[in-house]
Amino acid sequence: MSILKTENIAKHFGGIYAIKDISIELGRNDLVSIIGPNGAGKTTLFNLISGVYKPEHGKVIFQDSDITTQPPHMRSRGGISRTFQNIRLFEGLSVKENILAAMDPRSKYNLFDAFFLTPARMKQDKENVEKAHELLDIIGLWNERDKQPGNLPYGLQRKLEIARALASEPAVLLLDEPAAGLNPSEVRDFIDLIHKIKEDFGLSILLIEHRMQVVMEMSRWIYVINFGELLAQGKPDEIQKNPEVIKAYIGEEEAC
Amino acid sequence: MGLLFSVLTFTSITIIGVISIFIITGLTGLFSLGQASFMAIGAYTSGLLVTKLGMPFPLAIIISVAMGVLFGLIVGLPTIRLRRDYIALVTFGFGEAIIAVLNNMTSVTGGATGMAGLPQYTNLALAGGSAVVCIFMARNFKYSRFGRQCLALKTDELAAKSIGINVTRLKLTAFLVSAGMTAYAGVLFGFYTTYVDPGIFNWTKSAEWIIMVFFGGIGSLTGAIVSALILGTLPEILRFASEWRIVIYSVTVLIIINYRPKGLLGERELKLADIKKLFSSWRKAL
Amino acid sequence: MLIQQLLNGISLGAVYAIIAVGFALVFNILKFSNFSHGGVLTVTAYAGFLISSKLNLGFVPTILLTAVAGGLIAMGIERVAFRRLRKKGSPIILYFVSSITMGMLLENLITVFFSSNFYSYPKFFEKSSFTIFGLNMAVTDALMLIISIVSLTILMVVIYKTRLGIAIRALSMDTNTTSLMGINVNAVIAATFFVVGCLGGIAGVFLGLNYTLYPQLGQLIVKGFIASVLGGLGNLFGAVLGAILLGVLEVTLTNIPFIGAGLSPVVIFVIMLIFLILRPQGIAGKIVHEKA
Repeated sequence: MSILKTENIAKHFGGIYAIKDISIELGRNDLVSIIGPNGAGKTTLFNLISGVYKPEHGKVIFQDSDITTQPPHMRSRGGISRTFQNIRLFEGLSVKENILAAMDPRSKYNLFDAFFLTPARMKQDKENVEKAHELLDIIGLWNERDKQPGNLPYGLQRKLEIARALASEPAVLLLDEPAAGLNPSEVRDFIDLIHKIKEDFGLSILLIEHRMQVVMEMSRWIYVINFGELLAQGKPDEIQKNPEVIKAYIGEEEAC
Repeated sequence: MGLLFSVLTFTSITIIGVISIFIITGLTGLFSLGQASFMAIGAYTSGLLVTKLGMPFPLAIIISVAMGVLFGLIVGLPTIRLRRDYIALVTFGFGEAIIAVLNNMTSVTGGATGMAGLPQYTNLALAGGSAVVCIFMARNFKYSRFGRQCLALKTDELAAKSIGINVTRLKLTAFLVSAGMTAYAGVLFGFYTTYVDPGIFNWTKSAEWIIMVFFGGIGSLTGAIVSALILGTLPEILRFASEWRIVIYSVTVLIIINYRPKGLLGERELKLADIKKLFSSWRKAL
Repeated sequence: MLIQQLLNGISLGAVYAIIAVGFALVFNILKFSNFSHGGVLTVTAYAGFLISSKLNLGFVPTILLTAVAGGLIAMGIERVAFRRLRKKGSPIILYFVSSITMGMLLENLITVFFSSNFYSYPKFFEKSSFTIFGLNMAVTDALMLIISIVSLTILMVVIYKTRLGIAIRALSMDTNTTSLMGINVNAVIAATFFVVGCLGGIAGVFLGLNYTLYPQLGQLIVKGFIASVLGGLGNLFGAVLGAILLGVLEVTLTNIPFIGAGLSPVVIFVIMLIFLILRPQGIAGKIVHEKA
């Protein structure tokens, strides 16, 4: 029973296929990884799932409905959240406000409430602040709540992006190289965090990651993409032994 | 005393204009170079309704603000979903078009010679009070879900969409709020000077407000108000010729953008707590 | 009659094309709308007047000297308003403000120094119009058309055939990579601004000739904006097409009794809005998005 899948999805830029007929599937409360050399099309696939790009053909199915033509903000409201390979936080908003901003699209009050501080607004904002505080506490950003995101160390910026994605109450979380740039002790910490949020929030997670340690330890299933095409798929131990995968990786990536 | 009152009244009106730019540019990151035309719409609509139709002033205000919003919708709907540059270019064209209408529909608007004979309904109390209310509303807007989402989409539209923000709709909302507010400033203006002509509402006026917002600090409402106060009153008091005034503004802003791009206050705001702190430290000192 | 109007429209569009292309070039390399270009138009319109009246020069030397003057002014603008922003990697929003401020500054400097007197260009030509193939054409219109075609052709040659042109095109795609390729980005941008200023200077003289000299003359940059929007933002060919279309539209509308010269900006604005709804990518057909 899958929560999210793509069916023969394809996208090209100027005649060159970045993604060609790829079908993947993510189950409920599942963790599936997508790996592949740089430029293989992994992020393009995320952009297709989150609606940044429209595919040339193929479908994106989320909770049994076709969302191929839905705009990005509707997908987020529907329950697909993501993080970005190059961190994209909102400068000019504090850490806490970054979280609140992700809750705001689902807040109910209108412009009038906003202008004149009606009880409806005060109540809603108070609830959101409480939820944001809880989330900051879970992720481990409580002490940084009033700082500007730009002033945080790299690892904490990664965490904040995940926290922000969680704030929009997703069913599916797309993580684009979340462990990039982390030092080994941070990686350990990170793996534990992902396990924890996956269980606590009942999430299904689709992960793009270069660190084999993370991928092999966490994934139930792995898709390998090369030159925009699906090269292999399988359980972590199968992928590790797959000769084609090894060939694609030799000289390209060091498996760390 | 009369001069001081008049300077303060004009400054209050300027503050409302600058706040409207703060919402659209400071919070949302869009440039409206035809903002002054919404002021013209407010001034002319209300002026005509009161002088030609004898409509009561409060009703005329409501209709004028609605007119501002309606025109905002006409300009904004096709434009705002496109790249940010479009709204700047199209509003600039809108400004020209509005001035052309006002200049040419002589029988209704008085043409280039302007519309005279408006009763002086605006006084310092009304203008100042309105400015305070607008400041209050803008502050609440900034810290509401609307303001936060505006700031979010200003820094990163892609990330904003990814957390569920309807970027187009929110930009339009901010644009309409600011159009309505500016139209109201126009009403106050017309009924203070009792005379308006199309030349007052050119692009320089819009650009002046934008400059004030940047002078004060792009994300700071306090900064916008402080700079409207400084840049609005100083030249009046020092009696600069208005051309020199703008030359001096421009040079100042160029220096600020190059050497202190965050403006006077950056993103900082004056909070109630700060004022309390200030008072308590005074008391201690005494 | 129809052909006559078409001809007039095209010559008007030719000036708009020069303005629009100047605007589009900067948009291409720095990715922002350069509002200071309007200031360049104002200043060069006056500069052309000073050059022709003080030096007692004929038409061609005037336009050449003004073009150079415009080029230098635009380079100066780049130096003062954009160079430091670029070095610091400032957000686009600051380029916007900087260019708006620069445009205001130039317009108001002219107001301060020149607004008290009325100036107009000397009469360059004995006859003001001539007849060709039964069509009546103003001398300035004919010159406008010829000089625009010549300068646009030179521009296209520069952009597509010279090293500078390759550098400019490379820059319009990616600044970082271009500088990695060993191209002196500062020099290329300065050169681009020079070219843009030259175009502005030529346009400035024609505007000054066609209309009277007044400090707000530069606001005719709006024609360049509209042409760019119609043609497709940042597309040079589109800008030219949009400008010609705009010129023809204007001449046609001016001849419609209810509209006339006064209300034609309104009709054109409405047409532009409708155009944006139907074909936001412009005539040229490529939509520019903000970089993801």
